[in-house]
Amino acid sequence: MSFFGTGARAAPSGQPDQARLAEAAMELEAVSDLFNRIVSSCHAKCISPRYAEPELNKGEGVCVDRCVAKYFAVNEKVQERLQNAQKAGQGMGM
Amino acid sequence: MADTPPTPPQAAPAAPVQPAAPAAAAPKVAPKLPPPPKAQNPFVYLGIPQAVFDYRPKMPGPKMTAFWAVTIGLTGAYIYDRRECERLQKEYIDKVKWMSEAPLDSMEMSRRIKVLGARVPEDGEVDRSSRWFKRYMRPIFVASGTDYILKTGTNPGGIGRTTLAEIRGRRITEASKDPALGVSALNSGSANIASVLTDRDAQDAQRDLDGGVVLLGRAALKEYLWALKKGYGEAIDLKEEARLEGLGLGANERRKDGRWEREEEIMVRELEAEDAKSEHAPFEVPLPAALQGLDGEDDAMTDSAPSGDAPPSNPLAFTPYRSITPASLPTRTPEPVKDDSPPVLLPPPATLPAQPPLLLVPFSHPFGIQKWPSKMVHFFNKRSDVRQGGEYALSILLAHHRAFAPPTIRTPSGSLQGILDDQIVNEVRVGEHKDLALAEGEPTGSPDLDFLSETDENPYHFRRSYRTLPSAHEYSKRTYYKDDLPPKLAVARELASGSRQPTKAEENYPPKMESELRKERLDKELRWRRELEGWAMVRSGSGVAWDEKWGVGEGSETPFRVYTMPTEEQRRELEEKRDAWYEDKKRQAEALEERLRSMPSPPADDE
Repeated sequence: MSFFGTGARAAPSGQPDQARLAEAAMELEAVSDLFNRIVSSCHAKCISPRYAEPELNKGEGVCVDRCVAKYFAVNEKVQERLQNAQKAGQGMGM
Repeated sequence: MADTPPTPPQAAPAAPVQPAAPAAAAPKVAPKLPPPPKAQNPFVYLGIPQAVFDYRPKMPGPKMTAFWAVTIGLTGAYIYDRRECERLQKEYIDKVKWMSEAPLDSMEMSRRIKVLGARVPEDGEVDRSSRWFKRYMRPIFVASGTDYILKTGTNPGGIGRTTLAEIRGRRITEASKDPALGVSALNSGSANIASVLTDRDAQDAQRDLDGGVVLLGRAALKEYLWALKKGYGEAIDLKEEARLEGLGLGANERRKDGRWEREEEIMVRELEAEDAKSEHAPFEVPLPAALQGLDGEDDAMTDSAPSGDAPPSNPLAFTPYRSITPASLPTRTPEPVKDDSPPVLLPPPATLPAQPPLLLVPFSHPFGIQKWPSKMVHFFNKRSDVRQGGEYALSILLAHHRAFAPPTIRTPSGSLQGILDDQIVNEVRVGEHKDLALAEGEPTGSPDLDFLSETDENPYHFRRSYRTLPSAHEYSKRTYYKDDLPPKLAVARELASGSRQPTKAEENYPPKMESELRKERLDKELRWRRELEGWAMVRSGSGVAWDEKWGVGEGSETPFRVYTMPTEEQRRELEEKRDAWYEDKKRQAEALEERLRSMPSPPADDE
């Protein structure tokens, strides 16, 4: 997970690099894509379409908490595996 | 009148005369009388055969009767029991379902309950207690909209160690915020994050307090109390912790992967300290300078100045509280052994911080062939488990608690009876007391500390192999150090130094290198010590950990509270609340409908 600002990267000094800008833009896009996916997925799973009241109730709140936690956990795990597979692939290729 | 008498005598002599004649001839030939007509069911004339009406069902023979009785009995008992289970669980769920419909603000968090399950010793299944919880208590929590965290120990003492690490981490995080201690974190990114998360920590602490802790079984209670006593009773060496900081210490919860390396590192140092003291150290020759740091061991092995010491790569002065360096694991800088500055000790707090109330759930899993009949009966009686799970879940949801009862009984020597001796735990862990075995437990005088002691404090409750675990471990340790390790080590050293060529067999299956052998020894020692510590903590006869500061004697205050079973009145209150809630909802729905009906309908034209 690399939300920009929390990673251990030095702040860009002087004029912004094109490369750095592009990187930041990509990361922003990735993060907002992730956010949208989580919202739509957890909403579909946890919240029944019979909208009896506007506030979330406790059951739905707990469900959404857990949905988001699991989503992130799975995301992390899959990224890890992907990285390992890439490394292995590179090692074998080289 | 004169007529009637003559007629009977006339008939009488007439009747005997007739049978007399055939009676005289009976021995010779029986007259062929036509058989009397059988009573026929008039429905026969519809075409139904008479055999259908003549059918008289017979009672089956005794064997068949027995077979049917047993089959129908068992099947019936099973079906009845499972249906009752469903019904009971549905009943408990209906009691609390309304709670999940309460609104939750987006910034609010729901109540979260912590569930701790200890490992049933010597059980093949690692998560027996958590499975019991998931089956019998969790549905009611889910229905009521209450969140829970479930932690199971993977080996005996596991929950204790996890809780201990959490407590230590919490103490250190708090200490780092306390300016009076003179420990100042460097102004680094991690320190700033930590300060921002202080609020969240406070919120989390409050949430923990409200949530409560569920302890599944007596082993969980023992491990939990042991962890509390050790965590809040011991002083923490901050310098030592800082040296291990890079392995993910202060933020134990946030960096879960760091804890394993920390444990390994601690074990490595401990083993080295022991090796330095004993003459029979398995790896006497220190690693040459080039190989140091390969398997992550500290190279400061003996008290004599280590000649192969690599110079510390960090030229900065040693600070007691280093910031976390995430990616520096492979390049561990070896610290000099002799540290002249006085150790910065974090003293144990004077009083225990506020503790969440506990729920003691009587879960136990006995072993032994004598238990099989009761287990077979229990198979047809799962509804008792459902009822128990439901009752305990209800008690924690209603959240009425009472004070924990402190121990009262003292032995003649003056110490409390039935209390865990930490010294013995530490000694057993290292491998002493190898003749110690399970024993009957002694009562402490507190019904809470003696919770479930009728079953769990009996040595026959545990597997036979578990009763004398230290001697089994001692045997395996001895064989490993005497028979297994030295030849392998010799071979590895010979091959590494090149004093002989590998044989054909060794080329095909290369033997382990010395660093691998060290790693193996580390793993084995870790495992043995963990198991021994858990055994010493959880065995019957060990006693429960209790600090005298927490209160002793009838009626004294303790920092703990225990959830009580709901009374009739509380149940009725719950039902009233539930009815009121549903009434409310109905009324709201009706009011909404009224409003919609009374509103003027929008014009039907579309533009």
